[in-house]
Amino acid sequence: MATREAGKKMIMLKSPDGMEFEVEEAVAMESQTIRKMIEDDCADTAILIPNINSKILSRVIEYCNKHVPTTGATGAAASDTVAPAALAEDLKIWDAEFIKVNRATRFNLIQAASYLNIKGLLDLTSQTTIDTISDNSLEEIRSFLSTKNDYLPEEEQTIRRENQWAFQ
Amino acid sequence: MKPNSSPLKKKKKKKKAKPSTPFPPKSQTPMDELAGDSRRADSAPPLPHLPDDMLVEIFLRLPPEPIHLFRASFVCKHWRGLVHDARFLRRFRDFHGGTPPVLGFFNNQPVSPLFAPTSDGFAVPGAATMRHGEWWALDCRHGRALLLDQRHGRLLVWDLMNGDKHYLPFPTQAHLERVEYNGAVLCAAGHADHGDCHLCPFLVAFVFSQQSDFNTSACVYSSEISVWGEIYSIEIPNVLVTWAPTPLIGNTLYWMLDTSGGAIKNECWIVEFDLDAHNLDLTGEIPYYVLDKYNRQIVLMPADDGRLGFAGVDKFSLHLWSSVACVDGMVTWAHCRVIDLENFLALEAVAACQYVPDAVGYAEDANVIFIRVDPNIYMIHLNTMQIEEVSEKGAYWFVFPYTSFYTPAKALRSCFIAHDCHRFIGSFFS
Repeated sequence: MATREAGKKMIMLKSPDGMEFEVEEAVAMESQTIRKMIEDDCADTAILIPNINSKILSRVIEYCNKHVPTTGATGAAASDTVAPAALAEDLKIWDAEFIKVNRATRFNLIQAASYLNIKGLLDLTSQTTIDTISDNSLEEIRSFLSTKNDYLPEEEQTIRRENQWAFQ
Repeated sequence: MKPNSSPLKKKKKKKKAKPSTPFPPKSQTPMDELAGDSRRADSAPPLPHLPDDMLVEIFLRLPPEPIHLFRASFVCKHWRGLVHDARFLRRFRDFHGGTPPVLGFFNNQPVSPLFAPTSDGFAVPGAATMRHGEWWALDCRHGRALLLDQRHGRLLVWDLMNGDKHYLPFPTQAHLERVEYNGAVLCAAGHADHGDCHLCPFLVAFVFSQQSDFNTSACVYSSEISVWGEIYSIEIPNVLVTWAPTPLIGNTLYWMLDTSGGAIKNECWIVEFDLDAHNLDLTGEIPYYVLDKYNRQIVLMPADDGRLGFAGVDKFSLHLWSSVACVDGMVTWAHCRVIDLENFLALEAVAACQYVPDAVGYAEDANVIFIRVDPNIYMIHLNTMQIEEVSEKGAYWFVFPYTSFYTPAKALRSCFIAHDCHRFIGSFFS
């Protein structure tokens, strides 16, 4: 339920497993999906976030708390005396720690970031998978992402012939 | 190219920290040759398939160089379907700001390879056997390159991504023995987004100056009807068209002319060929004292304001000029931007430079200027002001950069691509 606390508008987010999270509206609006709901006046009561369990939702809120403009993780106003570059460096270090999770959690976070439309979190969580696709053998990519090679040998040869630029 | 060739290496500098436990042992297949190197990953059991919308979000974030989407499309047919979807490819180009990566450049420097790659995941195996004495690079634009086949007296339009080659005869009036020449290739579809023009019809504009009468003529070839159009001529005493790169600004091509043809040595006149109005006309002159400042090495390119401009390097200062229209119809020039190269180059690179730096080329589709700081070539991305050193070294005079996003090969794209080229050829051939 939308409430006010210490002068800040609060929003209630609910996970499908029944947990409720009260967050500042500005934090919740890091999600473009939630922002749209709030702007369309669809958020008077608690917002149910489908398909995102409480464990993942709490991590998402943790991320949004850290990344919401002008406030840090503690909610304190960011100091004007801190250089933007230093803040960016601090966020980068924080992000690196944040993403030290197992694959299942990382994939769940990608899914949550995708549904909630949080660009920064999607960039962060998908980076490892992007690196996997960019840097590994095709068989390793398949193994990593549970995909099977269904190309016939003759199809592979056709692809190879038609994409000579990719082979040297 | 050998069919079972060695893998392309990925850019090491872009690699991030890798997970610490090894992948399961991989089973070698021919497709693994694409992979550059073995990485480590979690040893956890495989996870369920990622939903398509998540996969698409991940694919969007792959680097813009074509090798990355190609590798994704090669993983399995389902991924190929996602990557080859025309809407996805458009989103991918938009995600990367509509700016295609520079994949390499052609050049006419005898001791250098005809095509020098600038992207680790891109090679042109066919260019390795093409010799400078037989081929002359003229232009690259909208995913195609234009080369002169000097031995057979014809032109080659070459799509490096899908391997398509079109040979064109010379216009009948152009006799190679007695002319200086230049040319340009461009997409013939009338769209604004030239991010995927590989299936579009194309135009080739060819310009040639007769040494006997200083008559400079231009004509246009349309791939749709496979003929050269009408010839338009202008006589400018004592000057011949040079081999300098050709900019396309709006729908007008610009060529430089000089007393000697080939190189710019004395004075520099510019002619413009309006592809809409079918008009070859004099644009203006670049004064000799301006040319002197840049060691007579300038590159015509669009200015920030969208008008014709040019770039020249004075010591370590890159100067970008813009044209200003005058009442007599000719243009004059205004200094519009100065970029101090010493702010971008390593001190060692500045110290090692034995000759004055030069502007040698411009990638129109990517807004990247090429600067030679002997013995290196640097690419300056004018949108982001990032600088990259090209691994291939050489005393390049002019370079013709090739840019492209990934595009599915023809045999693979038919069922996925609803191509949306709106064709226009103007009224050249109507």
